[in-house]
Amino acid sequence: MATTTAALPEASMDARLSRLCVAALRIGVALLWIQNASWKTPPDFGRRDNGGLYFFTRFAVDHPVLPPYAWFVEQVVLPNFAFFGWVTLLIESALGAFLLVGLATRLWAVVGIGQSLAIMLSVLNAPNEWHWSYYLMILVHVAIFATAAGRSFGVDGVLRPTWLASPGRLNGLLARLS
Amino acid sequence: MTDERLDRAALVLGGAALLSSLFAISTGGPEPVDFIHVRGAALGVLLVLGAIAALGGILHRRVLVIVAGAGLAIAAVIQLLQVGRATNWLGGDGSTLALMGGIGLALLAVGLTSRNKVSQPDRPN
Repeated sequence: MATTTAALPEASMDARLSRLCVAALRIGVALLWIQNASWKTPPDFGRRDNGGLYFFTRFAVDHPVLPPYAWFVEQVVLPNFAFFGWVTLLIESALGAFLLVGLATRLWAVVGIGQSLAIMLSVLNAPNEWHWSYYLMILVHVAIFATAAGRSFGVDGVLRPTWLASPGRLNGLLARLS
Repeated sequence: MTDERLDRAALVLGGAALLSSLFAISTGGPEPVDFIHVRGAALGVLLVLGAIAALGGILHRRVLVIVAGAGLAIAAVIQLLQVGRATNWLGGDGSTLALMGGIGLALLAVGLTSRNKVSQPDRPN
């Protein structure tokens, strides 16, 4: 009996420590996206000087990983680079924003997996790249999804009980995305 | 119970905005720890609206939380429209946009949530 009662605070401390680690993981990944949103600069995103986002996106063509993706980048992305530059800036800023506060976190974990895949398919075979960087980027978003990281010290954790208790499609959708 | 959690969330989010002002003392260059670009007017916006959000949490005044959230969301839109341009009122970039947008939307979500809906907090997984 004494063992059982002593185990309860220990279990509670373990759970709290786990939640702190999950929150640290989520915020750390948010800072990854936030910092890397800072060098995606409109209006040309580096096209004029062959720098910035344009430089790295060209790797998909110069050092192809997946031929259909290389074709798509060469024929569709590069000729319309300003549009895709804005899409990249918006997606990565939003990833940083939503993961930072832990809002709709599971949705943004899936978006993060997709964006990490796109980056990996662009630069995996480029010189001096460490391929595990991109595998780890994908895996860390899988971990954020699996742990529903926004429920640990995030806005999802605060608002989810309300979403679950309230009627309406939007509340149901937000509960699922958290 | 829920009101208390929402007020605490507003306080934490306001505190995060205030804390992010510390990035103003970084070099502003592409250094490993320069995660967020906070300079000039953006610093003032974060300090003022962060303080308003924190006060909203402390004083249980959701209108202050909504005002701070709307202000930061508007600042994020302004930053989005001016990023990379010669006219950049907030002096920021994509990282400033992400910070202000994230905290602004979170404050709006917290401030606009109906109060006293449930009494049980969500269980962590």
